[in-house]
This record gives sequence, C-alpha cells and structure tokens, in this order.
Amino acid sequence: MKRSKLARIAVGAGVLVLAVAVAHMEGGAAIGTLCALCPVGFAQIAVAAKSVPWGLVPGVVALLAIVFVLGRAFCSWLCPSQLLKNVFGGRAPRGVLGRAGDAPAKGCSACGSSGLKTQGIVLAVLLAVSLVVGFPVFCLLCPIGLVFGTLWALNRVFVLLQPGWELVVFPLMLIAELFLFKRWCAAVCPLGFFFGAVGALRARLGFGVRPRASCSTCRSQEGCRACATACPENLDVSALSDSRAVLRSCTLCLDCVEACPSKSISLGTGGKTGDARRAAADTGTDKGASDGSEPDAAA
Amino acid sequence: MERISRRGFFAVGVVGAATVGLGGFEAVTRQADLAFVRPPGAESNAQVVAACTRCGRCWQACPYGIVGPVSLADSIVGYGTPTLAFSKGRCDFCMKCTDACPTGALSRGGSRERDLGVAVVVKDACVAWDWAGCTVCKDECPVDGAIELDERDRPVIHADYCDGCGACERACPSASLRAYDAGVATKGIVVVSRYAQTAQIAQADQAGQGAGESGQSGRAGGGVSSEELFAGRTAPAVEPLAPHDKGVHPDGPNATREASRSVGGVHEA
Repeated sequence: MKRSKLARIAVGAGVLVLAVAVAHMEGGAAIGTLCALCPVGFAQIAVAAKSVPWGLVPGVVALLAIVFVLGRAFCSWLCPSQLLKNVFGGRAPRGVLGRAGDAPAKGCSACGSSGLKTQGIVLAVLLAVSLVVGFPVFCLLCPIGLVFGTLWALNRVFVLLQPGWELVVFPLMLIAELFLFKRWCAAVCPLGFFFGAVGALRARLGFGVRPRASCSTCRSQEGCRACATACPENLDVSALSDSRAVLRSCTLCLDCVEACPSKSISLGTGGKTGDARRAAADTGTDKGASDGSEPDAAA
Repeated sequence: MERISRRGFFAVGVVGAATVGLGGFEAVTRQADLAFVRPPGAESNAQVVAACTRCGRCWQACPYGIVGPVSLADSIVGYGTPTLAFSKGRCDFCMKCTDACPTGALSRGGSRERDLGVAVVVKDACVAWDWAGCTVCKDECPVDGAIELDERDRPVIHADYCDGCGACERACPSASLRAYDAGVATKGIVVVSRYAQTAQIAQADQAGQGAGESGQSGRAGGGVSSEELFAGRTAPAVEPLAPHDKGVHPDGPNATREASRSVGGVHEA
C-alpha cells in the first residue's frame, strides 16, 4: 500500500478515535459537533423547520472557507466513508493512461461537471422532500452520519449495554452505499455539491492550495504521465496541466507527489505556475484568473 | 457540460428514490409526531424532528446524563433526536442542553420551556395501590402540590402542577419490591409526554375519579395500567394536555424559583 494512502488512513482513523475519546470526556465537545458544520444538514434543517438555524451558520461558513483554501482535502483525509474505502476497497489497478484507458482530458472537461450536476439533483430532491415532510431526510442516509451512528451504536452495545438495531442496520447501509454505489462520492454526495461549488470558485479566482509541478524538473514534455495515472480524480498535475481543473477537483491526497519519478510536485498556492514568464505569456485569461499557461511550456 | 454517466444516473435515481421513499414513509406513519419526553425547550415533537441536526450536543451538555438519543427501533424518522430517561437522575431545568443546541430545536422562551411532560401512576406497578405505605414519589417530588395522597394514601398527580422533572420516576422503588413480571412496568410512576395518549388517558381517568366514581377497582381514578402505558407511551394523543401552569420548580435556570413567565408565573408559597 502506498505511503500517502497509509497516511490518509492514519489521519482519518485518528480523527474518529479522537472524536470518540472526546465524546467520552466530561464536558468535551460532542461527537456530532461535526454535524453542526455540515452545509447539507444546515440546508435541510432550514427548509424542514422553515426557519434558518443561525447557530449553525458560523460553523458552515468556516467549513466552506477551509474548503476554499484547501480544496476538497476533506474528501480524502477526513471523510469517514473515504476512510472505509481506503481500508476495505483497494483501488482498481489502472493502466499507464488512466482508468478508462484515455489520457486525462485537458481543460474543463476533466473537472467532473457531470458529478456536480448529479450531486445537484440529489441535493434538490432531498431538499424538496425535507420541505414536504418536515424532517432532514438525508441525515438518515448520509454515509458520514452512518459511520458516526455505527460508532454510537457500538458505544451503546458495549459501553452502555443497550443493544439496538442500529448496530445491524447502519453498517449494512454503509456497505450498500459505499461498495454497491461505486460512484457515491462523485455522483451522489450532496456535500460534494457544496465542495464542488466552492471548487468552481477556486478555479475561477485561481486561488487555493494545490499540488504543482516544478517546470524545471517535470518531465511531462517527454511523455511522463505518472502523476495523472496516480490521480484518483484523473487530473493532470504536471507542468502541462490546466491549473483550473486541479484547483477545482484536487482532494490533496498527495498520490501524485508520491508517484512523481522526478519529485517535481509539491504543494503550492494559486493558479499560476512558478514561472512568471509563462503566466505573462498566457493569453485568453484575465490577470487574476490566469491558468497555468502550460502550452507555452511545451513550446 | 459533460453528460451524466450511466452509473451516475443509476446512483442518483436510486438515492432519489430512497429519499422520496423515506419521505413517504414519514408521510404515512407520521413518526415525527411520536410523543417522546423531550428536554426542556422543545416546543413540539414535530418541531424537534424538523430542526434537530442530531449533533448530540444536548446529551453531552446534560450534567445528569439523562438526555439521550431516540433509538432507531423507537422511531426511524426521529432517530438521534433527544429524549429523556430518568434512570440516572432528574431534570432540574439547568437548561444547559437548550443552551448547547445550535439549531433552535431546543430554545428558550416557548410555552413548554419548563414543561417536560407529566407523571402518571401505573396502577398495577405502584406499590401504594395494592399494598400501602409507600410515599417515596410524594416525598421526592420537588414541586409542592404536584403529587398528593388520596384518602387511601395512594399518589395522585396534579397535571397542572407537575413539570415532568422525573424525580418521582427516578426514586420509585416498585421494581425492587415486586417479583419480575414483563407485563408490568418497572416503575410505579413514570413521566410521559403531554402529547402522549397515556397522559390523556390518565387525565381522563382522574377526571372520572373526581366525578365521584368508586376508587376501589376497575377504572379507579388517577392513573393508567401497564398495558395502557406500553401501548400509548409515545403514541400521539388526539388532544395533548396543556403545559402546567401552577407548579413551581425550586431549581431551574439560575436557581430561580420563578415559573416560566410564559405560562403565567402563578407563584405563591
């Protein structure tokens, strides 16, 4: 197993352990304090109760601000359902040219707008249902909530000695959602819709932490596609990449950093590459939103 | 825009159907109206189910460990919303749960801010009803006038005084004084929601007794049977009882002795 994946498992599991430990300490923060950060829960409660839960606003805004800076890092590092996938669902082996056998597409088509579309549909449906029946429906289906629900059920059974159906039902639902729906994260997760929307903003403003290849050592011009092959989002991170796609979809999993044979990739900010000359020569984009301007690098 | 892949379309369809199905389930069963004993600050069951984000801050905030989540077996729709169990302690209206709530599911100022429910006597479990001499619930009750003894020294609850704090349920020794019988409640006095059928039955029962019926057998006034308790503990009543308007809890927010202003603050004594 790759080191970056092990690191992600360690961090994800560590956060869960910490959450459980804190929940057992007197006066500590509740396990579900994380629920109070959820933009989907916020939206559902707002429509279900027909009043805006102002107490949740600071947490939700803070979360989205973090997403704006770090991108979808939550998805690969903290999301408990991704943790389960990392632990139990080994990644399908892929060819040199990526999962589908194609080289990663250039430009915006690689950014997964279809995912944003389907996530948007899911969000619209769940908000409509929440509005009609007056309770936050998706909270009962959310895999993140189910992970915490399973932890709570374990606590009930083994600490409080109150067995309940939760311990049977929740893990089964989790398995169904994560392992039968391979596309859950990309196509369904309504939290991903919010992240995707913030990601689009990142891409537009050309701002945010992202992996970037050093132009002096990146060997993409010689045909190296190691980073793109390693990327679970099918992004091309090389010096030839479109930084907007990276800013939009990157989950900072750091697989590319590990996969790069010339160790050219490191974390940086912003949309431009380090080379100001290329950025200046870039055409068709305005000053702040300039993308990586890699076509010049190839020339 | 990229076209939606077949797999993505399938996933969205299934999840959409599950969401709508869950909504339909709620529309058919009306589980959101199930009458649980809620922490102070809960206006109605439907309102708690709608506004609660199931974050669990209220359980964490409770210094007595009496707030806990509704289990999946009790209510699928209401899973994770807060309810009270008085096995570890009673509520003294410290309002820490309400203050911890980030969504307003529990909030100060409503008509039921200081009203958790009402105690009902379970006649076949209460020791005073078939033997005599037990007055533990009355002795433990912090609210003057909420529990009184009738001419046979059996507890009678005055719903207009009782705030449902649970001191009586916690203290009731009936389980330890009886042989185990699964058909009989473990407590001779329990707190139920004022929205519950059981509360309504007990109230009607008491009214019947007041009208002069025999206090000897059958529907002798002032309580419910274990059967009625099990059947109607969380079933929503057609007509919920009004919040108490007379009792004054000696503790409460900032240790005041004032009853909630919104319920009239009728306080002499």
